[in-house]
Amino acid sequence: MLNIEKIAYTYPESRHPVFRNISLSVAQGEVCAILGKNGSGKTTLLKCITGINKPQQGKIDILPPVGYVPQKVNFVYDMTVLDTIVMGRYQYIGAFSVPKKSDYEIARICAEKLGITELLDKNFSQLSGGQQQMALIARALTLGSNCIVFDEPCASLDFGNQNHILSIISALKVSNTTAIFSTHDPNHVIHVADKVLILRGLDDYLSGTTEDVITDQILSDLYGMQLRKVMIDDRITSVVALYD
Amino acid sequence: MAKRQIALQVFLLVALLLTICLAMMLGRYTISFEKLYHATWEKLIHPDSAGNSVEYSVIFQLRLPRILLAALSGMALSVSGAVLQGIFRNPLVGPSMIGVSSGAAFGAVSAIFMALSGVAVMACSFVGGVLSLLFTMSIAGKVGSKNILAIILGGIVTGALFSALVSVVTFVADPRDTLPVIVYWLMGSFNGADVNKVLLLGAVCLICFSVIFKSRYVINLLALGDEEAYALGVDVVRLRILFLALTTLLTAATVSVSGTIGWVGLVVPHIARMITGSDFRSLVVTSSLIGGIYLVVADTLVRISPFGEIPIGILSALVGAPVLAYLLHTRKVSN
Repeated sequence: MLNIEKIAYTYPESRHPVFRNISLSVAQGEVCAILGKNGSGKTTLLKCITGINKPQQGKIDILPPVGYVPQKVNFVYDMTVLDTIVMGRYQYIGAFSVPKKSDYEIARICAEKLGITELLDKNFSQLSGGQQQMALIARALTLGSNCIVFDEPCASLDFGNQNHILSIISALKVSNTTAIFSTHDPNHVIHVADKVLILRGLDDYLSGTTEDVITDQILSDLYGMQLRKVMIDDRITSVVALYD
Repeated sequence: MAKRQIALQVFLLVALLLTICLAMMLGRYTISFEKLYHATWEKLIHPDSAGNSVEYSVIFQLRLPRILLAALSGMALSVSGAVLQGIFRNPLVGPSMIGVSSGAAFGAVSAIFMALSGVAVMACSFVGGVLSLLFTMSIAGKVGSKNILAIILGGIVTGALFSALVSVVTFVADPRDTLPVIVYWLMGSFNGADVNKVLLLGAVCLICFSVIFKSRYVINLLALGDEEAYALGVDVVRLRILFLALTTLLTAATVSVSGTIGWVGLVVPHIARMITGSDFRSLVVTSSLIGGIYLVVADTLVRISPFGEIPIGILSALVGAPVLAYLLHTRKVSN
C-alpha cells in the first residue's frame, strides 16, 4: 500500500520545485500509472517513492522493501544475467557477505516466472532492450516486496515487448503486489492501470480511477491536441490522436 | 563462487609462492633450490639463529624482507586500484587519482628535507597520504558524498597541489646531500626493506584486505551507479567512505615503505579482468595475486639487471604504460 501526502521536491542544484502538493493513495495489489508529458516529473516522483529522492515537504508511507525497475541501465562492468538478477537479493545478503545458493535459487525461480531462463548465462549487454527489461523485472521480483516501481518500462520497446511487459505488470495483481509505473502513453494506462496520477504542472495534477480520469477532454488538454478513446465492441481499446 | 574461479585463484596463489621462491634464488649471488631448502629448514628449526651459511644471511636478511615487501606492495596497490575502479565506475582510475600517492610523497620528501630519521620519513609519508584523502573530501565538499565526479576532481586537485609542493621541496633541497635522496625515494625502491617495514605493511594489508574481502560483493552494486545501488538497498555514502579509507590506508602504507610506484594499481586490475571477468568477488582476489607476482618479478629484474639497480617506479612505468596502451588499443579495457 502507498500513501503520499502533499509532497514537494526540488533538485539540490535547482531553485524551482519539480512538483508540489502531490497526494496519492494506492491500495495493496493495485496497479497505478503515473502519466504525464516528457519532463513533467514522473521519474522524479518515482524516485521519491523508492527513496532515492527525499521530498522536502510532505510524507510518503510505503511498506519496505520497494522493488525498482529503472528505465535504462548503463553497466560499466558487464555481468551475467543471473548475477544481475541476484543483485536484487542484496537487502537479504548485506554488505559483508556474498549471495548464497538459496539467493541464486530464488533468482532462477524469478527468471523462470518471466520465461528468461535460457538467458541466464549470457552477459547482460548482449541482451535486447526488451530482454534487459525482463532481467531487471526479475531482479526486482527477487526482493519479494509488496510494491514494485517501474520507470517507463515500455520506453524504447516495440509493440510486442510493450504488451509483454504490461502483461507482467498486470499479473502482479495475482500475488497482491502493488505496481506503480510511469508512462507518457495513455494506452498503457488504459491497458493495465486501476488508478492513474496525471502530472500537469507544478501544483496541477489529477488522480483517481482510470475510468474517471482518462477522458477525451483531459487527455486533449494534457497533450494540447485532439485525442479520442476508440471503442470497439463497446470496450475501450485505444487512445488515438487526431492529427491536424 | 564458480569452481573455475576458485581453481584459478589457487593457481595464482601457487604461482605467487613459486615466484617468491624463485626470486629468493635469483640475484647477484645465485642460490640453488637445494641451498634455499636447507636454509629455510634451518630457519624453521632455529628461528632465532644467525645462520651458518652465506645463503642463510642473503636469504633472510636481504632477500626475503625485500621480496615480501614487493609482494605486499603489489597486492596492496592492485587491490586499491581494483576497488577504486569499482566504486568510481571508471576503469581508468588508479590509487593516484584520489591524491593519496602525492600526499604521501609530500609527507616523505618534507621529512627527508628536514633530515628526519627513516622511521619519521615513513610516518610522515603515511600521515601525508591519509591527510590528502581528507583534503580531497573537503574539496569535494558536501556534494562529494553524493557525486563521484566531485571526489575525482577533488583527487585531481589534491594530487596536483601536493605534486607541486613536492616540486618546491625538490627545488630548494640541497643538491649535494638531500636532493639525491629525495629523487631516489620518489622513483620507488625496495632496497631499504627490513623486517619492520614488512611487518608494518603486512599489518595494514591484513586488516584492510580482510574488510575488503568480506565486502567485495557490494562493489558490484556500487559499480551500477549511486541511484541504482541505493534503490537496491546499498548504503552508498557510508560504504564509499569505507572503501576510500581502506584504499587510502593501503596506498599510503605502501608509498611510505617503498616510495611512489605508479601504474600497478591501474594496469593490474585490467589484466585480472581479462582473466577473471568483471565480478569483484573474484576480481579483488585475482588482482591482489597478480599484483604480488607483478612486483616480485619486476623487483627481481631490477636486482639482477646488468645495468645496475633501476628504481622500481621507473620499471613499473616503462612496462605499465605500454601494457595499458595495448589494452586500450585492443579495446580490452573494462569489458
